[in-house]
Amino acid sequence: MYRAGLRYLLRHPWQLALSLVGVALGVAVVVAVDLANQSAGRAFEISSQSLTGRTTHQVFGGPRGIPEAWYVALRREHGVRQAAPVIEGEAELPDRPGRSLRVLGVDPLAEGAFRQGFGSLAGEQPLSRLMSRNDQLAMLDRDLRELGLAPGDQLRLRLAGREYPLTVAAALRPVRELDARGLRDVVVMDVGAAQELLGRSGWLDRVDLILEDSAAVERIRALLPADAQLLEAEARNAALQQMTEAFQLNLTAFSLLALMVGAFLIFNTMTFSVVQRRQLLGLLRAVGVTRGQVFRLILMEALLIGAVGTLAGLGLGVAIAHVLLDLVGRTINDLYFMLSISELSLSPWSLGKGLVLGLGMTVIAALRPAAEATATPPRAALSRAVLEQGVGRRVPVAALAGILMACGGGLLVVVLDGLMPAFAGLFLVILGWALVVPLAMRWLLRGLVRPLGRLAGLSGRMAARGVDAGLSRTGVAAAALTVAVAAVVGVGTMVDSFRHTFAAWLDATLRADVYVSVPGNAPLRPEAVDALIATEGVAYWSSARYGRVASGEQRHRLRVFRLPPEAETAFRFRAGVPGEAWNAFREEEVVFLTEPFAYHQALTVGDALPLATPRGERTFRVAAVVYDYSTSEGAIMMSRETYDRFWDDPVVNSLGLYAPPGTDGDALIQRLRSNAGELQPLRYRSNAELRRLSLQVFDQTFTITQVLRLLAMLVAVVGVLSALMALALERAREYAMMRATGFTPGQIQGLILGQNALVGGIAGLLALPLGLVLSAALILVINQRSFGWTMQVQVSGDVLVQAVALSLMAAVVSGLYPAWRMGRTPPGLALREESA
Amino acid sequence: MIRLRGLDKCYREGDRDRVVLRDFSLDVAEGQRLALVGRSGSGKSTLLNLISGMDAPDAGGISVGGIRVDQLGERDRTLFRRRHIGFVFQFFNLIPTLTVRENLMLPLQLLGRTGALAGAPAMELLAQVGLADRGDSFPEQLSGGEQQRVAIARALIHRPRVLLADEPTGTLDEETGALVLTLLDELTAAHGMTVVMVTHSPEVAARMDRVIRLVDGRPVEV
Repeated sequence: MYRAGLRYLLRHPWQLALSLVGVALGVAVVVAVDLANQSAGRAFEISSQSLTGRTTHQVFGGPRGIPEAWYVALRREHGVRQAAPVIEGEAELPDRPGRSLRVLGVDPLAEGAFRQGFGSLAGEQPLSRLMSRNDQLAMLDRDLRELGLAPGDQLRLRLAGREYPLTVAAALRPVRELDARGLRDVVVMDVGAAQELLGRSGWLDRVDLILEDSAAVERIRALLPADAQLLEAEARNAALQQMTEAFQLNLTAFSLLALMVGAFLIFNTMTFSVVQRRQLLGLLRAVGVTRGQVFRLILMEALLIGAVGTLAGLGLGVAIAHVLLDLVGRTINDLYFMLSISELSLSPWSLGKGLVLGLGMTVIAALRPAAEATATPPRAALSRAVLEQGVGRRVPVAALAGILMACGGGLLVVVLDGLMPAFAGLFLVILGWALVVPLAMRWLLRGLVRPLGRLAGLSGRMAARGVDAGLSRTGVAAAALTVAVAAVVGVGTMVDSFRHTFAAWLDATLRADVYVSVPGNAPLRPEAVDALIATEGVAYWSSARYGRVASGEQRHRLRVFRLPPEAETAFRFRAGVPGEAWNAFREEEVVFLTEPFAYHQALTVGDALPLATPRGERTFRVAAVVYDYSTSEGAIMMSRETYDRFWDDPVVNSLGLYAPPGTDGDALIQRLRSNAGELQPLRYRSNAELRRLSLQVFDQTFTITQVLRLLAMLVAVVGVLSALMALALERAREYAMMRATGFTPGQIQGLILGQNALVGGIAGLLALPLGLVLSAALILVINQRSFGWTMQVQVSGDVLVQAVALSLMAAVVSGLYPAWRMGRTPPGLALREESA
Repeated sequence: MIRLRGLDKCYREGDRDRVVLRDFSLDVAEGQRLALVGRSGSGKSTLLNLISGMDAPDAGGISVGGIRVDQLGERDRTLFRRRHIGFVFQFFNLIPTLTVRENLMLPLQLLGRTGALAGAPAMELLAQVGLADRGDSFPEQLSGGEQQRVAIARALIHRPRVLLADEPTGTLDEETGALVLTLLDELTAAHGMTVVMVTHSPEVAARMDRVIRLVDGRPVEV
């Protein structure tokens, strides 16, 4: 019995291959996303472990950091020896455009107790050089080899806009592999050298501490400057990692969508395999095979297909994960923090999840076909018509269940808070609609019989009726295609809407003609600021200061603006009255919040926000919530006037320079360069260039979404290919008979392609409402709950037309092979094969 | 009417070739009704496929009404079949997605006759086979005998010169089979059609003008 089943599979190699590919692709996408997510998490963990080392607590300062003098006093006057200063920055490799390294300025003498990875520095000959000269660095042995460098060689680095020839003083060779992985792409320098090269002399980013007990913690807390905070290292790392959770959850949801499409595919394959063998199954029953044995036979086959497909999917998933890893890493770097994810962590958990999902889905998908197989009566071959009648009876019931499911899902999305219920609800909506598809398709096809008959005569009617007559197969294929195309529409509309909203926000926000900053966000020198604003053609200017500020146990982004009244229109209010808010912004102790910040912190206009300032903790009133799409973490905005009242920090990070109308922007940049170029290496960006670069980063962060969208579509195309191809091949006898009656090969091919086009076209059309619901949920609910952004829904006709065209094309392509085969096979041979 | 000369035909089965027809020659006169008998696998159905142009011989010539079928290309063989051949199969082979009337209209529509030009003869022929009230039914709603009557009507509606029948009563009970054969006799005789019928039944063969047995791929007159 099992041999008969196995031989059946082997005699239908195309069908077998397509089902294996379907399972493999579905599993691969899930495993790939999971591995990429896990690897990003693992990379973060390892990097945190290596760079945090034995640190138990960290001291962070205000926007400028921690004064170095405080650290010196801590060690010398208060005798705290287990303290290590750290300054961090970013360096570019001029010889390798696009590659950046993380600069870590440490005190090698203090490091020994903190980071084992740096342990190899201590006691080595180059240590004295690293400390005594400002042009020395140490790097991981492995990174040096990759760059073709060895100790003693020179490496050119660009820090804060200026290029420096630095010498490799030492190669780091951590004993533990974990430390080696955590130190990838890190340049270690003496803290003094890093301060100077990053333009941060006298300031530290943080001080790492090893505090044994609560008494030690309290002692340090008492010594802290007013605007500084003492945080537990682990809690700080966890808070950082938490920032990427929503992003990673979104990716996981997309991968599950691909698996869902894959499950349709498996279901389809198994249904086919049963229906095609109804005569064989009837025969087996006639010779004494029990219902249970038939059931087990089908399940065993499903398990076999599931196992082989899943194993292939695991391999493919690892390969895809390598590509995704790069994209995930880039997005995390663009949106959250600098992280080098160089290695894929093959987590057994991810692989196990793929295995269970692949096998589980296959078995679940095979349950109904297996149950159907047991209904095959002995000897009598169950006629297609009887089978289809059964399906015909079930279709309205399924549609009703689908509608209930979709409504339930919709309620779940709208009523319950949080991301998980939203995703669960969305999946129910998708599944519910998929169940409605066969009935909707039947109605549409029946409505189309007459128009198609008028258009293409009998062939037209035959095409519509043919699809309807094979609804048990075409219905599932169309449902799978509908889900995939809806995902294309939903995600496409979401990306379009986000891009449109982001571009509109950029247009409103970028009001200055030229923006000047120092690469790496280092401070602008006061003399450079003076020279720039005094340049001919600069009518007025704005300035910005970026930093972090403490609030309770949290650290938030702070943006300090000096704004001319003309620039105030750049801000769009989500909450608050503009006139009142701007007056308060300049004169009172108030802040504006960006929308994501207000959302994450659950704050609104009128609420109070305590911030640590050098004058002690102060409470600022929230005067407005403004739209902002620059960071999903969100930020606090404060006027320069207010900032200067509480912070002794004259630093400016960027200038916005406004020219009178009609000014030649390039000529203005030329004049700015000649006035300030000698004082400091600066980056000049015109309004248009900054807009272009911002959109470029935007597009880059959405690359991964687009890749996943394509993968889901690919799974669906394979599914449709498999279903429609098998359907056409199953009808070989019918086509052969039509050939006998006088149909030309071209007419048969036209009929097959016409039927596929109908399936594709209808699936495409049915995908549109689901796609739009999906996009609305993604934009208005999921995105809002993940990132706190309000986006304008922008439905582009292009996305809709493309989606239907894609669906049509996928279906027509699926018909090419059967059409070609049916066209080539002599009808007599087809009849003979079928009767054999 | 039908002239077969030195036909060879073999099929590939696994690694081997199975010879079905070997140097097969036969003439069938216009209006003659010929029965082909022989063991299963002796090449009877293959012969029908070759005459109709549904399959091509490995060697030899086939002429039907003066048309060298073996020399026609794929498309012309289809057009030849469309115009000159009517086919009745053992398993009826009606198109399940067309109604009975549409099944009947199909050969005429393929010849370019649409609307009433196809509809009227279809209804007329349906009445002749006693199924005037079943025109809008789908094949699956008909009994086996009814389906075969429709199949016969479809094979004859375009007045082909040759009717090829492959065990047309093979799946029917004796009584229904006899009715179907009578119908076939009446309709073909009325138009003077040449009939080649494959059968396993001596009774059916006895109703024909001539009987040929296929033995080792060659014809033996009975």
